Formats: sequence, C-alpha cells, structure tokens
Amino acid sequence: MVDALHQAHRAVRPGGTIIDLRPDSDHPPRVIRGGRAIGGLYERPHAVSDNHFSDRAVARVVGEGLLTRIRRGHFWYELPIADLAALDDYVAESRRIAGYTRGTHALLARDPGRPIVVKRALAYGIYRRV
Amino acid sequence: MAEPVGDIGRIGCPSAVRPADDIELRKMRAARYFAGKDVLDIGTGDGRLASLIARTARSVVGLDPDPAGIRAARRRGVPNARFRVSTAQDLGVGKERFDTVLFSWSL
Repeated sequence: MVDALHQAHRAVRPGGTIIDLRPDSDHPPRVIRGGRAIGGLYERPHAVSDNHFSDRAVARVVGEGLLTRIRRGHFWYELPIADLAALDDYVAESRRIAGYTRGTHALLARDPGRPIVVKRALAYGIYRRV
Repeated sequence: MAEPVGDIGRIGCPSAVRPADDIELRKMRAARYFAGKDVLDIGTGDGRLASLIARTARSVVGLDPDPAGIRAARRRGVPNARFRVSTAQDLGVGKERFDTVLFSWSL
C-alpha cells in the first residue's frame, strides 16, 4: 500500500490531489427493514486489518512529508436488497462481509420476503501532494 | 491493493455493491478536485465513478486489474476517458501526470 501511494505521488503533479475512498471498517454495515434498523453485518478480519494497514500506509506517507491532509470523513449509502435470500447471497459472496450480527438473521427470517436495505459506510481522505 | 476487485456482489460485478449514483462525489464535496482536471482513477472497476467524473473533468484514465471490468468501462464510450488493465503497484502511466489521483476502493 505504501508502494501504491508512492506510485500515486509520482503520478500526480506537485500541488495536486490524492483521494483515498474505501469501505469504512470503523462503521460496520447496518441492516434496515421497513425504515427501522434491525441489526447489522460484520466484516471479515482480513478486511478490517487491511483497512487498518491502509490507514497506517497513508499515515506513513504523510509522515514522510510527501502528502498533507486536507480533510477526511465518512458517509453512508444505501444498498437495496430484494429479500432475505438475496441478502444471504450477498453475504455469502462478499469478500468483506463475514456474516450477520447476533439476532439479525432470526429477525429477518420472521418475514423473509420483505425488501431490505443495507447501509454501508465509506471513508475518505483528501490529501495534497507536496 | 488490499482487495483489487473490490467487494464482489451477488451478480458477480464489483460495482454491484457500490453506490448506484454519484453519492461519493456529492458526499465528499470533491467537485473542485475533478472539474477541468486530468484525473487518474485507480480501481475503476466498470468505470462507473470514472464516467461520472468525466462529465466535468478534462480527462480521466481508469485503471483496474480486472479485465472484465475494463471491458465494461470501455463499453460506456466516454469520449474523454481511457481505461486499461493495471494495478496500483504498477500504474503503467509512464511520464503522464495528473491533477488528481483517486483510489476507488483500492488502497
């Protein structure tokens, strides 16, 4: 990741901008149905550790004096899912999502045909090339 | 890249689990970093975000290690966007320089 940031640093003009946009492991996905939050999903350990590794890589390159941070933050977006079967598929096939938080699947299974919304958070950081 | 092709969704396309519209651009309030700029999008996937950025950018180059994603991106036919198979560790952009580099779910 540090290599990738160094490559990006070489590719951007002096005074230019590097933006890092990725899933936010500090804010795990939430499961919404009928407008109510009823549970959540949790991420695979490797996804969380990769995210932290990326955080450290960015901090290192900033520490090297190659970038200065302009600002960072996070935001949520909604992913509509047709029903519980579709959400099961989504969880099973995801490289990031490991499973349902305790009790979430049982609640969804009481009415499996209803549409579901997964709210996911994205984190971003905006940096200026020195 | 930690996860070169992003988070594969139920239809097998990385972008299937990404936002459907331009919410990233709106929420980051980053328009100024793209408008009139030469932009490099690393981890472009099927070019969804790159094609949105290209509406205001001078040019966009989208890179992704997934050939199927790059084929889909090219099919969008965005005139000021180019797409090619590449990784963040080996950008392959030569001496080309950009005003903005975006890591799209790829760092």
